[in-house]
Amino acid sequence: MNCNSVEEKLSAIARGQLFDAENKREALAHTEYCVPCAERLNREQILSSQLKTFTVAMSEVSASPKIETALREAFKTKSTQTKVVQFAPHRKNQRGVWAVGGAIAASFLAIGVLVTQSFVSTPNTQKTLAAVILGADEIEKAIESINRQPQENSPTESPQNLYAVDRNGQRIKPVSVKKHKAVKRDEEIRETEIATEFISLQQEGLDSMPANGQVVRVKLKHSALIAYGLPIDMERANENVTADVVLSEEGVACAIRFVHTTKSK
Amino acid sequence: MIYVSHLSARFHSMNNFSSLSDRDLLRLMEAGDEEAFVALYRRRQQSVFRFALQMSGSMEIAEDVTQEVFITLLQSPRIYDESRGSLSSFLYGVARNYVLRKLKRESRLLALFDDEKEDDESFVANVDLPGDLTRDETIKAVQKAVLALPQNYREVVVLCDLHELSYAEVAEIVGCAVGTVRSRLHRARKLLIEKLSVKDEWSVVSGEWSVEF
Repeated sequence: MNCNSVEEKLSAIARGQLFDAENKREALAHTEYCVPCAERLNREQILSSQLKTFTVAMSEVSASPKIETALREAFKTKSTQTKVVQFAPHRKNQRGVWAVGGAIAASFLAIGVLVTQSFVSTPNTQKTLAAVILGADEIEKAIESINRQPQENSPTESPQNLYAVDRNGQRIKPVSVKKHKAVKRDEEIRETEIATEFISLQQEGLDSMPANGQVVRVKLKHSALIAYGLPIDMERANENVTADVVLSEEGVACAIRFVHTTKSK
Repeated sequence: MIYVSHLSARFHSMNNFSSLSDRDLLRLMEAGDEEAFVALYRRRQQSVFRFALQMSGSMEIAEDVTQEVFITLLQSPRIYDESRGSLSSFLYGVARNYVLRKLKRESRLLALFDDEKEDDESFVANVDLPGDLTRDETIKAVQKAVLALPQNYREVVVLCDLHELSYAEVAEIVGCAVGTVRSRLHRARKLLIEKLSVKDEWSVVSGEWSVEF
């Protein structure tokens, strides 16, 4: 028996895991005349003792009671939890676009905030919220447009008919995700929508999407598709495309998908 | 459903869950028994928590991972397939995935090597000072040496030597062959001996090793 063949056996002996008596006897016999292997066995035994000491020292360590409390709460709420948005399976190879995607999502969020706030808050509030995300000039322009719309049309116009504008002054109307599967705009023209899968804007991917979320429809430049690895027609780079952005309860943009609308009679 | 009712009656007659297996507790949990879920948590949380702690060196990560592991079990109990191994191994596997993900994202692997934080964040049990000074030093040295191992070596040391799982169980958790576990453990122990022997040099007396615990 040479040193190489006995090495692993020495480790097993020190760990108390070598149960074959013959192998154990041969390995120990080897250490009686081989000084390096005897030293190796000694070190292995010391290591086993050190690891045992460490294990004993940690034997009383456990998670704090707050974890159990949190889990009890999770158990109670589990049955009442309902998901608003169902997400498509996670798409791979999207990690390279997190930064760009995040920036674009922030823009969507700002536009979504503008649209939402126009129903419930003052112009100053809109300005403060959105200016955090977009540039001041763009916000001024957007808020002006939002404030102007009802006055130009009718003072009694319902909130559903209010429009926000994007950076180019194009109108944006928020639409619920539930409503845009197939919309019949009038009796003659039928619109059909084709959507991509949702692309996660978070590092954790779609698996960590919030159980409750809100979908906001926005428009953005055709060239934005590049950031998501989608093919674009350069001649249409300046045209707008439609997208749905998923917002968490905290208002964080979590995912995006692009929507293409075709019209047919 | 009849089986679950039977289990529930068995629990109520004995007023505890200790006699029930993990599988039985899981079934009760699926049927909406909160106490069964808590009993399962209490039975398994310590090994999950210690594994996460020994792998990460961070109390915060260990607590997050423990919570996430049991949330996963709560939300998707059917992902555990009992034909593929014990619930304990399954929980270790889930914990491992969460730990690796967190370590990769937060890059906090070397948190304990910050000397200023060392005393505050040491996660070992309190030792009786000053009588156990040597033991305390040994514990801290082992803790550091284990955390300094590469991840694939660290996990086999933690599972095989600290949690005393078999090669087969560890192979199932880590997702590799038993032979791979054996060779990784062998190399890991070699590395640990190298790291710890520097500290122990002072203990060599007259050519013999003597380390007090």
